[in-house]
This record gives sequence, C-alpha cells and structure tokens, in this order.
Amino acid sequence: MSPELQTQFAAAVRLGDSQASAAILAASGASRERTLAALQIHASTTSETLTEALRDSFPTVADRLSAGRFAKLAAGFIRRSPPRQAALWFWGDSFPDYLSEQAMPEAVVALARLDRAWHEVFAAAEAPALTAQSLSALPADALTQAVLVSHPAARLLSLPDGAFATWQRAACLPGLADEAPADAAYVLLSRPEGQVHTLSLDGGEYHFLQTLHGGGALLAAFDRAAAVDPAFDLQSALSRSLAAGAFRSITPQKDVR
Amino acid sequence: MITDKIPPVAGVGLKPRHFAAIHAAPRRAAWFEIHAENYFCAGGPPHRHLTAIRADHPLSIHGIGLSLGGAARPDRAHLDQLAALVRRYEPALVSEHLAWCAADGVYLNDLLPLAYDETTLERFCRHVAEVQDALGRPILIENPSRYLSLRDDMSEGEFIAQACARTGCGLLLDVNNIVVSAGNLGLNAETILAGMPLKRAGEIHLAGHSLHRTDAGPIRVDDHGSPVRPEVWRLYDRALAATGALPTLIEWDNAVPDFALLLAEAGKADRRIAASQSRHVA
Repeated sequence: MSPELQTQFAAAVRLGDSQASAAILAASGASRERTLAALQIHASTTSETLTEALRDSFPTVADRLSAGRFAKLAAGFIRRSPPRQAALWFWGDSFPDYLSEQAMPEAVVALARLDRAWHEVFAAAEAPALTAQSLSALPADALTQAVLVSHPAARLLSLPDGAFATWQRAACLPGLADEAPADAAYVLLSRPEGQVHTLSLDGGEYHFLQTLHGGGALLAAFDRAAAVDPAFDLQSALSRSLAAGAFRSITPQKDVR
Repeated sequence: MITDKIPPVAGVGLKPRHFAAIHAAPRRAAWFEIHAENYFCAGGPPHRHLTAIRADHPLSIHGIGLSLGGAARPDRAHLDQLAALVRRYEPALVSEHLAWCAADGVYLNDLLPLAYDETTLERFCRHVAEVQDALGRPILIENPSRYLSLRDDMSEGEFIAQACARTGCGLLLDVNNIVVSAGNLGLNAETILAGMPLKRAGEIHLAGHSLHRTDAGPIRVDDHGSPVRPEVWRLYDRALAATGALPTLIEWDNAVPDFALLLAEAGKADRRIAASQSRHVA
C-alpha cells in the first residue's frame, strides 16, 4: 500500500475529498456502493470519536451548548486543528481560541479556558509542593530575591463576570473538590492532595502569583501586587498559595543571579 | 506488584468509571487491559488508580496509536512514552494493531485498513521490529476489523504469519474482528480463523459489534458498545479448540456498563474456556 494511497484514504475519510475517494474506489476490491459505505463508516468513526474526545476535554462547554452546536464547532476545529498525536490528552489546547474566533460569547470561551486548565491540572506531573517551612528557612535578604518555580499542576486564570460560578455549578468534572459556587474574577487551579482544587483570588493575589509564575522574584511580585492593591497582604497571599500547592521549589540562588 | 503471567482466563478493559468498584473489592477481575495512550499523561488520578490496581492484578497494555501500518516510522515521542509506561507498569502483555491511523502528521483516531501486499508487509515488519527493539520485548499484533479490502496479494492470516515469522511478534486474535470482517467482505469467518497463525496467539479479544443498514447492504460496525454476539461466541469456541486456553479480554469501550455486567460477560468467557479444556482432556 503506497504512502500516496494512504494520504488519499486519509483525505477521503477526514475531509470527504471526492478525488481522494475516487482513488480509493479504484484501489478497492469491493463495489462502488460498498466502498463508499466503508469510507463513510471510517469518516463517521473519525469525526465522532474526535468530537467525543473534545467533549470529554471541554465538558462544561458541551453542557452549555446544544449537542448540535457543539458538534458543529467541533467539526470546524477538527478540520482546522486535527490531532497530531494519538494521545488525545494533549489535543485541544487551542479550542478556547477557536471558540473566540468563531465569535462565541466571552462567557463560553471562559468556560473553555477553565475546562482546559482543569484538564491540564488533573493530568499534570506529580511533584512535591513547596512548603512555607522551606520558604521561611531562607535568610531575609535571599527571600526578597527568591524565585519560586510554579508547580506543574497549577494554573492561573483571569475570568469575566459570572464565568467561574457558572463553571462550578455545571459540576461535570470528575475529581473536582466540592466547593461552594462563588464567583471570582481570578482563580488558581491546583491539585494539592490529588484532587483538583480551585482558589478564588483578589486582584492583588492574582498579580502577585502571575508575576511569580512568570519567573519574577518575590520582591517584584509584591511590588506588582501592591501597585494593583495598596492593601495587598503578602503573608496571606503566600500562605494561601503555598497551601494550595502553587509552587514546586525555590530556584537555587546561583540561578537567580 | 504482581508480575506473573496473565492466566488463561478472562479479563476486562479498565475503565475510569469502574475505579471505585475495583478498589472496593479488588481481584474480582482476574486481570485488566488498558489502552496505552490513555495513560500518556504525566501524573494525576489516572496513574494513581492504575498504580493501585496494578499492585493487585496482572496487566496487559494495548496500544491504539502507533500506526504500525503507516507510511511513516512509528512516532519517536509516542514510542518513548509507551516504553516508559511499559517500564513503569511491567505488563505481562503488550499489543498493537495491524492497521494505520496517521498520515502526513495527522492522527485520525481510527484503525484504517491496509493492502496485504509485500510492500506493506516489509514496511509493517520494519515498524514492528523498531517497536520491539524500543520495548526490549516481543509484542502481539491484533487482526483488525475491516470494512473494505484493498487489492490484497495475500490473506490476512498469511500476512500476520509472515509478520510473526520475520519479527518474532505474536498474534492477538480478535475473534469479534474476524466476524466483522467476514460479514463485511463476504468471507467465511471460520476460514479466516483457520488461516491465522494460531500457534502464535498469546491473547484473544472479544467484543460486541452492531449491524448498520446501508444502501450497500448491512455492515457490521466494530463499536465495542454491547454484549458479545452469539456468532462471536461460537467462533470463540472454535478458536479455543485450536489454540487451547488463552487470556481472553472482554472489550467494552462505548456505553460502558456497570462493572458487574462486565464481569458477567467475562464469566461467560471463563465458562467456555473451562469447557474447552475439559473437552481437550476428554
């Protein structure tokens, strides 16, 4: 079976390409009707299973939209951004952007970003979280210049009004720790004890963590947070984020320099 | 961790919706099979559950995405992830498919048919050998469900027998797939079975399939969404008579039932294995 025939077979199955279908008809040992029916089975399997994979990755979006609407959006996304690897865990990271390009409401795009963040946190690598004890062991001058390495299972999000509460109420994500729905503009998703948790943040905390997750030092993160919120409470922000498992480690001093 | 071989009894596919039932009462299933790609994630609950379940049960790892029949070599990153999974969980069996699922860098998430000719065979064997080298062990190759044939120069059984001889791989005999292919290609299922290299079989798969009415006549669709059909059970009896007792997997991947129903289906396979052994002794 030549590589060219496989390319044509894939085009017939994935895109319904009629020229490609003609090539398969010529190579098939079955009748025209039978061959086209077989191609249709493969096309349906491909589109349905990939749509299902997207639905599994974006359950809240699927729950919010009608089945037909979601399927149509999925079909467009599959055509434009098909998976490049068989492990579908990793596919779909650009689906929120695709929804935005399709002029979907901002709230739906935000649900997609929350679903994606949950998905990434759920399956992220295991790693011990940085503790307050480790941080407090640093001398004061080193502490201000300390750079904290983000935990692999930590994601920060900035959201439009109502999106977080809507997402929590949808409750279609396995393993999401029970928390009372409450809206928040800023959220940290993490997996401190094996289960995905959400932590609502105020503006100061969000910019503090955003600076740290971007590689900034503690003092720079504090300055950024204080500029946003003059009442920013450093001790509370550190305590809450460390308890949530937002960081993995402290960058060694030599790397800071 | 149990490292023994998988016993020649029925096992079931491991599904996340059954994790709680399995933890609540371990060892009700004799062994489990996973789809490798579902555990390519770095960590989190999937691995936590699998680690706990693996401690009490033998395991088989079944790949669905290596595209061994594809024009391109097996994807190196995919192969590295599979090798890491095999090292981590020490499965008794590792298997893949006689099919392709990726072309020009795009993954189609379906098992697509090959033309059974020498060109394809030579390429397929190279890919199987590369995988076996990477894993440091032989793998089993599953005969696929087919909806059309593409100018074959040899039968499926001859193709697989050649692959086994050239690479040292074994056969994962999917009895349901034989019934599906026979129905769709106008072939005799028992003839297909007899043509397989049954002495190289190391595992059997059973599953449900559905019948679809089309303008071109009925088509059997291998959807793994229902109980094993009677004609598949009958062919399974024939297969057991030829192979002897083998580890047999009940695959149920869509509309997944309660764990108890899945175990009941495995129980049917166990009774047939026992009956085949008593016939063999008699």
